[in-house]
Amino acid sequence: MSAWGHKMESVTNTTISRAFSKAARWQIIITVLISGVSLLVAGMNAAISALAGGSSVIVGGYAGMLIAQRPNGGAPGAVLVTLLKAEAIKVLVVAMLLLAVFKYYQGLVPLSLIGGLAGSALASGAGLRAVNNENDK
Amino acid sequence: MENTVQFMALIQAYTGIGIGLIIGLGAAGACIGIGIMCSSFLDGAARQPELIPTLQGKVFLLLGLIDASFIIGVGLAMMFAFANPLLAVIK
Repeated sequence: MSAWGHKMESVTNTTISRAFSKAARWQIIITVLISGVSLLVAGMNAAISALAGGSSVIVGGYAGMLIAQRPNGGAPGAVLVTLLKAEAIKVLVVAMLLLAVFKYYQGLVPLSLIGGLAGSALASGAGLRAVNNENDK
Repeated sequence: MENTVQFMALIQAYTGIGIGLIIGLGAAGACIGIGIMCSSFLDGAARQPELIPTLQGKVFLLLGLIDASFIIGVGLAMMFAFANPLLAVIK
């Protein structure tokens, strides 16, 4: 790989990990918030369910980020294939974690889990704003 | 007793169809969105290759955002598959 390729790759990895960390921060905040509300409204099992839903999305996102950071050569097509692979891994990890929670957690409160999951999944868009703000500076 | 079993079978059958629709339509919508975004990414990368790292971070986040609806759909489908609230009507 050329020096330009190495430089592009390190810049890319930094951008992706920064984007993920910004998104993950908001995801954690939203998940804890929903979990707290669930604790007040429906009890401890609901709070744990919301935490399980939110954390499954965060863990899936982290797995996707690890795949997205793998070296890809810097060509647009290769970058795209790596990103799509990362997304496929993310969806797979989230689905597996949700399956495990639904199958093995006896005191599950489904609505809280869906709430935590939806909040955390939608909060990932907040990272985009943070990345945009950094680019503007 | 026989009626109850019939109602339960009916609810489970319709729920199965609903689960298929939730996952299928969600996946179709996510695929269309990802296709449009990826074509735009390739377009932008071909015009300005120096922007690829910046665009890659945004594409990664937007992929997550587009897939969010699909992931929520999967969660809802699992809720209907493992803890169907509609079955509570006949108990």
